[in-house]
Amino acid sequence: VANVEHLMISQLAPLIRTGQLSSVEVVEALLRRIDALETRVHAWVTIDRQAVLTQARQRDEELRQSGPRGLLHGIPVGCKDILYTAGLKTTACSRAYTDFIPAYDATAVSRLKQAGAIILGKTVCTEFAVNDPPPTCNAWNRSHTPGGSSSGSAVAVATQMCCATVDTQTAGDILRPAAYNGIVGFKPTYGRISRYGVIPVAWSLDTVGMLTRSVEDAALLLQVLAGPDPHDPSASPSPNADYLARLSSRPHAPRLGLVRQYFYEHADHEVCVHTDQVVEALRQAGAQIEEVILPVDLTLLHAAHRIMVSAECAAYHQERFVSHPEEYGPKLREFLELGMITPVVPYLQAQRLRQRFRRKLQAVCERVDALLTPAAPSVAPADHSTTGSPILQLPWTLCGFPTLALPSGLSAKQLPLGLQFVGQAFREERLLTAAHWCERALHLQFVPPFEE
Amino acid sequence: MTQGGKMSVDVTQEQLLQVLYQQAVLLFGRERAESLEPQLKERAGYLWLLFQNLPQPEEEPAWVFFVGSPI
Repeated sequence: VANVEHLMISQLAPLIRTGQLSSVEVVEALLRRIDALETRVHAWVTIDRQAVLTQARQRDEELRQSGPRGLLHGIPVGCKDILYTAGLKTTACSRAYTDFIPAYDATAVSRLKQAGAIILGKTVCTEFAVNDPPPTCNAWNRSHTPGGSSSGSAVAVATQMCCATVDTQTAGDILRPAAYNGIVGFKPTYGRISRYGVIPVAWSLDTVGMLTRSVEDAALLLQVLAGPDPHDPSASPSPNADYLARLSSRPHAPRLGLVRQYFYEHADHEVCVHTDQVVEALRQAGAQIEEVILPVDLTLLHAAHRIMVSAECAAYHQERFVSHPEEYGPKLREFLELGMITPVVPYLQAQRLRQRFRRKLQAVCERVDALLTPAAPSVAPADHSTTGSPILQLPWTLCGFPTLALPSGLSAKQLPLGLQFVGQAFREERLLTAAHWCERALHLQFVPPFEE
Repeated sequence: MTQGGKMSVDVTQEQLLQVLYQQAVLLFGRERAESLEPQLKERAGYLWLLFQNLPQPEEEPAWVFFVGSPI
């Protein structure tokens, strides 16, 4: 099989299952790709080549002996470096955790392995998944930011060093890098995937999700990762749907609600014009699209998010930060200091308002298959001192709703632009089906202009 | 406290900034507090916004257990 690195999970998995391609061949192809590109983009923190090849050989042997473990048998997957991986360094891209090797796997990592996946390596993120930019470069233009905090993951997937990564979002940490690098970023409902073994940014906001090159691959990973977990009280007992079956059932043109309010006010002209053009193209393809006005003050929602995230983050880091402030980068330090002086009553008021926002926005989401907004205020900034703005993701992350970034075109400067789809809480199948339909209708081929 | 059904607290952004600044001086020293001034102003703005939009008495917080449950 030629050009293995171009293939997605949905293409690789049947080839491996039927013996047309071995897991070792896939791993070797991806390691060659990493060798060719890594020094230019800095997407990875840790790759244990011997361990990865050993796992691949074991998967090939298992397949011969007893058949596939599960949906991801023999598929290499990257993990953001804040997910615990037993026996493999988990640094959070921080000086504080330089040599930390967890004794156990995060539940998400454990479920990947149970489904037959191989942990290819740990991807670069911003320090403790907050704001200090990493050395990673954008997959489409190295002078631009890759976004964050899942910076290395997005670049690794976009440059075809791997077909998927498992990540986390607390503000816009998955969808923004997805949009900046022209790939699919999916954040399920808060609680859909266990947070156990994830180094927290903010307990009440952190959500495990994934970066892939197709909606189908995102659904596939959700199928594997979703479900309750006795180790995580916030992991929901809500039953999982058969996400893959829903995608492969007869697709119907979705009902979409375009939200210009707030989102267009914070996006640049090119993004707004592009979004309107894509909406028109989707309408021409058969989607029913109406503009929707949200019955909440999104500025207030933004304020609530900022209060909550810094206070929770400061609570987690307080002990280490007070004794070793020198271990923290300048933006994270500032963030923690603001959290430490946040009064407790406004924090609680923010949590109370959040519940109101969730109810009101859920009622809006129920009326459509998905809401639609731009995925980012602009293309990836040509500035490595920032990872861009999460402002278009904050309202949905605060409410815990599932969101998905889908590449939708290129800017005048040949940088990716994307749409954000927002769904009802715990109805990911509806969101994924709508996004899948749009992905097919737009029929875009997205490959960064990288030459080995 | 209540203005037309909307709960609020009579406090200015400047007063909130002063509270935050004093806290910052106490915890991090005057020099650091001064260097944080733009961020403190932004934070005071967020707090002020929350104080102008207090929840109704019956509204409870969205603890992690609630957020992970059906609405």
